[in-house]
Amino acid sequence: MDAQTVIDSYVRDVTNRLPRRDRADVGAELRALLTEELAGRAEAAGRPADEAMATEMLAGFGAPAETAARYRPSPALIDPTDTRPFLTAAIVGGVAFAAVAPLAQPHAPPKDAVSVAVLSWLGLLLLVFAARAWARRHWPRLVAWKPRDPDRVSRFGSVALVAVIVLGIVAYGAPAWVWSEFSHGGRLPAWLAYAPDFQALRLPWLLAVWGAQGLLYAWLAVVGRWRPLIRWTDAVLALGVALVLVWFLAAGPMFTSAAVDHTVKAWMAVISLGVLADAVVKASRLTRPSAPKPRPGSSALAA
Amino acid sequence: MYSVLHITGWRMASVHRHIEDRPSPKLELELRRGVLVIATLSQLAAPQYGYSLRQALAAKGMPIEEGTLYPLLRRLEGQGLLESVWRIEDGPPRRYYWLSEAGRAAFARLAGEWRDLVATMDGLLE
Repeated sequence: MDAQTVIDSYVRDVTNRLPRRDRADVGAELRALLTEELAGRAEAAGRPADEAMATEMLAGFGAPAETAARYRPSPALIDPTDTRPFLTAAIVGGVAFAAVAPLAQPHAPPKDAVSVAVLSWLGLLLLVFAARAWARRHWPRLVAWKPRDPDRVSRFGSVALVAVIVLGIVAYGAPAWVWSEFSHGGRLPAWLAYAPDFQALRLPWLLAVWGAQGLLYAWLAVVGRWRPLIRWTDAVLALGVALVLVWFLAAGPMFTSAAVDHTVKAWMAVISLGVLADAVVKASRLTRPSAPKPRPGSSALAA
Repeated sequence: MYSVLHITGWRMASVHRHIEDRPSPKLELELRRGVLVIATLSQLAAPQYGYSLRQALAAKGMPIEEGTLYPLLRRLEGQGLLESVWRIEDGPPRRYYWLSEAGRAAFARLAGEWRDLVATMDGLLE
């Protein structure tokens, strides 16, 4: 292989990584510059350029992918500042999904259920973080940091939450009545009927915890600020909801229809993880001091 | 404009010559990376092509690796700071670059900031 062929090969590998409209122009310029560089080296060495000399020069120039990136830097899919939260979410969420997946899909082989759940989670995370990075680049003001009072509560938000909880209790506690109201006296389809054991023994626990949460958020709307006791109660109730949902997953059928039961449990697995994560975040806020303080013996104090 | 000062992954020939026995080559790379743009703009009042510009910078004590300099010229052109044209003079076709109107204004601004910075750093280092 002669020196010019080496250069042509390198230029081709660089330009193939560039947008189509830039390839011809950048390629022509890069080829001309590299040829001139090589001629300069050959003159300095006092011998004609050969394959080894061209390869050595191009090794110093950088790998074609690096060179292409220098010509046209492309933004990172995930912001470097998000690396740590991404890894944390990927690992914690991945482990949690792997644990819950066999419960959500009891009829699938555990290995397949775990693979699908973990890969779906990673794919979703990638989309979320990529969207976040894109938003930061396009609307920096929208996502700019703003000071906030962590104890301040939106009264409207709390009232809305109470309304949602009440609706949930009614819809899940008396589905036949809700169906009848919305269908002008129609009967609940058989495939939406609860399994008798579930309705009698397990569902009331969820409704009770939701009821307690409704009372808590109503109290919060009145008070207007988070207080330690409210936070503790909120974390305990969130954990309670998560545990009840996991119990539903692990215990017997929730619906008489196996197909409906299967689908609902798959979604419930995802929701229970979200609720569990919410409980963990709420509990961690309780144990975290409001403002970090230097520890005795740290470099800041010792200096 | 200033974003080009922070592009990572660049390597500079003169630093590479010394990094083997330096404990913190990254710090030196970071230091020199910030002056690449102003050094390049400083030599483009008159048209230059990539190779001749690199030679001119090296002759004045600012060697910049070709893998860094050539893409930089394209990026500066993309930002409207340089203009370019293909020309055939005494040799093969070459792409010549020179400062645009915006490039001259940016260079004047950067040069002023550089002088202020040097004065400030001199004060700090005394």
